[in-house]
Amino acid sequence: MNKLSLYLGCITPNRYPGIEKATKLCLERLEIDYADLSGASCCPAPGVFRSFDKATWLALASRNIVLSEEMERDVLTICNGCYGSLVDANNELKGDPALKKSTNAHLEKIGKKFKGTVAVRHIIELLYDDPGPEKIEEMVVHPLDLKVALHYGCHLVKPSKERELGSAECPRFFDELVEATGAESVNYPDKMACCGAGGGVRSALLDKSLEMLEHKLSRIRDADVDCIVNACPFCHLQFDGGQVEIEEKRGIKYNIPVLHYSQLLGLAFGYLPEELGIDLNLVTNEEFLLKLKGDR
Amino acid sequence: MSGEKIGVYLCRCGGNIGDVVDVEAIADEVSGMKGVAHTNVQDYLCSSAGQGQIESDIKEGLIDRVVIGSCSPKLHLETFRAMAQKAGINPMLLEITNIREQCSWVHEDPEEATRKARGLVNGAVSRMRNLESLNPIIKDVKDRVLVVGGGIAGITAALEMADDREVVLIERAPYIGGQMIGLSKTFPTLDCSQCILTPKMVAVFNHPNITLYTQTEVASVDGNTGDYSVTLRRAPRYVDIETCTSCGRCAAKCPTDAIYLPFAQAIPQAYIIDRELCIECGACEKACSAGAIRLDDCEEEIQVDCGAITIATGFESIDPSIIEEYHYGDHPDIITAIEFEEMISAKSKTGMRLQKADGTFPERVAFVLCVGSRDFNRGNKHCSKVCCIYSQKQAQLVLKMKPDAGVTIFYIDMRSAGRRMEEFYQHTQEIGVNFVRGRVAEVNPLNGGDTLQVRYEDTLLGVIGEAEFDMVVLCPSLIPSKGSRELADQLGVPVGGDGFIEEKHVKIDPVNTLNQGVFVAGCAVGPKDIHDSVTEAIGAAHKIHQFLGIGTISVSPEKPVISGACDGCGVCVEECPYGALTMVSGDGEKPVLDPLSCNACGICAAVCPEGAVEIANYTREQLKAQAEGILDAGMGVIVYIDPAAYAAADLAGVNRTQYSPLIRFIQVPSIHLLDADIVGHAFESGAGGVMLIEGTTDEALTSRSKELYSRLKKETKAFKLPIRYSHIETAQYEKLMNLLNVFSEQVAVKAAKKGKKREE
Repeated sequence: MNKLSLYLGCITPNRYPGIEKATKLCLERLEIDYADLSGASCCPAPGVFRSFDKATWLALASRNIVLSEEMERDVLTICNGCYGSLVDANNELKGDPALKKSTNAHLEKIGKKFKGTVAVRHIIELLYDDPGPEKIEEMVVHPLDLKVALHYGCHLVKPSKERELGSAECPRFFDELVEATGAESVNYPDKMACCGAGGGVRSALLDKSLEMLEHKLSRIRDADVDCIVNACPFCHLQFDGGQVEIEEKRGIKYNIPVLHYSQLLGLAFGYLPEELGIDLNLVTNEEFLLKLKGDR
Repeated sequence: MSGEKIGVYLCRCGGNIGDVVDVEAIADEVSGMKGVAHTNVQDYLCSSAGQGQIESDIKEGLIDRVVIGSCSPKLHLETFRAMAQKAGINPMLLEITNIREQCSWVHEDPEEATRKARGLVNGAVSRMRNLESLNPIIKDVKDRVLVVGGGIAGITAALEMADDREVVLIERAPYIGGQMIGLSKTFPTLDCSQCILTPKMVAVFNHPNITLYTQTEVASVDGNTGDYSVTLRRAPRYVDIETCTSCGRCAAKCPTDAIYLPFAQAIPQAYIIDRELCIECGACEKACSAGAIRLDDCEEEIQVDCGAITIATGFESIDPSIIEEYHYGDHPDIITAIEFEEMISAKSKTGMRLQKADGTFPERVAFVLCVGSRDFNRGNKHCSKVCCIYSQKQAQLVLKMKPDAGVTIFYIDMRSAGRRMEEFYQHTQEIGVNFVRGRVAEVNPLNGGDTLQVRYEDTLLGVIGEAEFDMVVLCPSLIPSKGSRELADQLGVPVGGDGFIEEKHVKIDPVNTLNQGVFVAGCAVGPKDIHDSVTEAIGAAHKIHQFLGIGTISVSPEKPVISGACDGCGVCVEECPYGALTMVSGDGEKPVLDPLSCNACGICAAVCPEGAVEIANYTREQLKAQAEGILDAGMGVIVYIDPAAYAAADLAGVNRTQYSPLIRFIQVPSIHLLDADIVGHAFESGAGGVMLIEGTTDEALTSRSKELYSRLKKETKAFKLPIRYSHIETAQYEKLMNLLNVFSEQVAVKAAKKGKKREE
């Protein structure tokens, strides 16, 4: 495996530092060579920047990639949005010499140059690829007795033609990684539906966004699971913070705990919920925490 | 040659050409060219007025040679040449240069398009000055027809022709009847499929002029239009069709159910052994009093000589599991419409009962249209045409079986065009079938498979909905049968981007193909209903009758001519891939040509060390003159292109796929007649680059192409100009356009650099 630089994005350091902690603990346990990508900026968010101003989007995204090129490390993202932005920018610039030229004209002003020498990875496809679910299962010290509602999120699998991760409608790879921890990934209707946050919807149309979320949450509640697992801090924010907003606005309390996959894997590697920042979530489900403790 | 009087006739084609290309300006310019005696512009040259003008100009002695600038020669060349002959000149002295499919339809900029068209017409005139009168070679045709595919189209075509001539009908399955024998009732009249088809199947079997081979496919095709020699490959049946009386005693004794009759009405009425199941116990042999069992039967090759071939290879459906969210294959009651039909047809395995996997009747049935049809991401772009109506028919049948059943059809657009179809749609609505407009999002087995949930958007009500069913019938996209593309390739017939066979003309020549000895009918040309398949089959039979009825065809006289410079070295005889040249001793050893074996590939001309061989009307001087004429109108890319690839370029035109106007095609019988002398001359005359585009799939030629390319590259290196070779099949016109664009761009950059240098 190539060496990696860990790209955090915005939401993890600002809202959910536990995801960073959990990720680093897991990477260390898996003996994956990574280093912090210092100096990185916002990815920038694909829904907002790319849709409105491609040149700015490419300039900012490529700057982040260039920082990793200078370290001779592939970029590791832990967020679907960052992944969507950076992998798409990387592919576009590698495949289109004219675009590369015009973007480098911007980068030149800050003494940078995009070369196209590294790849952009998402932690889920990376872990699936190497070490793979079987190896991870062998390394689990504390198999989890949990029923999980898995949320892939949109940018991880789509646009499917570019992701080349197989099926975009009924994918399995993330499920296999969840099942490697001992947890059961429960099938539920609308599993592949959007959480409602991306594409600027959460910022522009909060009520609509929460309506989409609530539809999804009601499906998840019907599936009778212990928690939601995602691979994207923005989805995480939507599921976690959104539940509080729904309770405030509509008085409906779902109280479903939300974990980033690195936190789920951390639990299976034997770390405590507070070491993984699970207690920093807005949804505090005592029953769930007790179950995690009781498991031990 | 001097004193020739060339008439140049340009067609506006209603505006198809005239709106982009300034044909009047071109007529003005070429009127001053050497040899041009007359120019004329018409709105529709192909009309009787247009043709009549040319005819009378010839008769009045105004002209004795004709250059036409119009649509592709693949469309009307024969018509115009017949006119020329009638008017009293050799038909080879009329040629068409293509300024529609390969110019006005593919270039938007009038200035560039006009410049290109002017070049093409110049080139055609320069070529015409040098052409010779040639007399066509007459060849006898074999009065026998091969029909490939024993569905309704193939059966109809065979029966329509068999009273007049011998027909060989082959079918891949162990029985004939095709898809239609697996249908229950047929729309819009609901008559039973087997009732109308079985008599035809029996008639085929009994007809003294029809030889029927089942379990048989085309292995290879040799020969040419009018005298094909086709090798068929027949899989073993292990039962002799002639002697089997289908009494069924064998099946009663077989311990593994390996011997069976495909279905009760199957034609041929003969059992067949599935060797996967057979344990070779010999019980069937003992049981068969007729002695029909042939356990030592093996695959055999059958040779068929024929003059014409009908492609009636039909369709199959896509595998609907590519639309993953419909979960086909995950639940036994999510079925395809074909499986629905078969359940209640002659081929039924349920005693013609519609039932779920558990044996009960489905009370709630959903039909999902456009599964992989009209889908730009997965499946196919095209509409499968028959699904809107057959799903209604199936819905009507469900209600006939159980009037209180709940039946819903999920559709995108209800297409019920054609006589009796809208009334059929009206009737379906009246009897209570529920219609929901919107593509289905998901089909989900729920509650451990007890029920099937369909999730959809109702685009008329603007709501998202869910409904539960006992059976979901998917109506999959229809595609050409497996193997039809390979067959088309062997016959030199183009297929479209959708995989279906291309007709000679989509509207006015629907059952002919670009190969004049090959005809097509039924779903091999695109999804269609029984009525249309039968209509085409009758049409194809008529066209074949016309074609073979004359007994002879004329073969192009554009063949090698060996001059006195030949020293009898014999290299051409050795190199000819078709064995068309033989050494004959007389006044010294000299090669002699068998024109019917010759493919006019021109390898003999290219390899002759003495330059003693030339292809008539594709001589070096003629090809050079044409390129020179074309480049007279400015720098361009000369693309030598063979007829199969030329058809691809025409397809790009028909599809209005734009490409660089620098491209100028010169059609040659084969790129293998080219040598460094011809290509070098194109460079000298101002070509910015040269391409060789080959479309033939004949390995005798393609196996030599690489070597030809590297030789030409090496020998024209001194010009420091780009040259490229590519093989593309007729269907790959998009790929061709990409190649042309990339190459033209490269040429343009190089030319600009050169221009700059010159300025400096």
